[in-house]
Amino acid sequence: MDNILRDGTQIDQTVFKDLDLNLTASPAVSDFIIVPALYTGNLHIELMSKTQCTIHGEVLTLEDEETTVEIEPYVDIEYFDREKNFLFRLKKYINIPIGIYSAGTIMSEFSLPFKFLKNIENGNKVSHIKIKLNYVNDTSSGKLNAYLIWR
Amino acid sequence: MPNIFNDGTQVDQIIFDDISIAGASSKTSDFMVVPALYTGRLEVVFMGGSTDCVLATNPATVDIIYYDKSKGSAIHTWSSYVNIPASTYSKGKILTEFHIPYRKLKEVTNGDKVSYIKIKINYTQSGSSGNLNAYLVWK
Repeated sequence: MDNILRDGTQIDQTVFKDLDLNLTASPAVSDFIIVPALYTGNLHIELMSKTQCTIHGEVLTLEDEETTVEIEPYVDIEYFDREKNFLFRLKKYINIPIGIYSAGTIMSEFSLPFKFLKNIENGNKVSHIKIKLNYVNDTSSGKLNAYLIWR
Repeated sequence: MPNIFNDGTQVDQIIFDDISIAGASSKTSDFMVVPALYTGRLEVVFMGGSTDCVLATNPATVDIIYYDKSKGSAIHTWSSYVNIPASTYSKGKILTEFHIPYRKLKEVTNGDKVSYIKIKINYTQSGSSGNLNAYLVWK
């Protein structure tokens, strides 16, 4: 079981384990992650390629019906209370650059935002979160891991 | 000069001081010196300013640009790192909050030499108006 990164960073919890980007339908949704330390602001998520990964997002066709734009893959964060009742979804919080990542490289790193929750009803009652990774599985490949770390 | 939030968070530096976002499609900060970058404790908070901040783009995005102490060419640019939903943000309402990523820099040439960053917000000029603040805070 991985519980430490190469630089000595301790892993608090595993968010995704060997997530196959090609075989997993998007969005990939984590299990409930318990986050008692959320309001300290010290919880971070790190997405790392386990094998070489290629990740792509949705391709949109613009109004001229010729030009296409590929939207970067992105991460939503869902917040829940102690009874796992849904509280809030932070949509498209973070983007993941489109591209190829060699094994063991960082695809994204971000802290779990919490200050904005003061403006959300029951935003002071968050006990669990879920991480949703949005991408296009047909054009993506490889396996990634994601970790919750305390810093 | 604001240097503390209502919750007691100390402001390390002011990135944007009540800037107007009208009349442009992006705003870029001055060089921000970040000696504590590699501690992972530096965070950025965007807030509505003195007049309601209206972001018309869905989403607006934020870039982070890294420089060494010579302030020459960028060492690395993290484009569209975070998204900000289109909305109207009243004074003090948080548009977005994020930590300055640094671990990725170990995979970037000269990524261990970052001394300064710039923060850039991108949005659609048409329909966007009002003022915003942004702060660098130490957590």
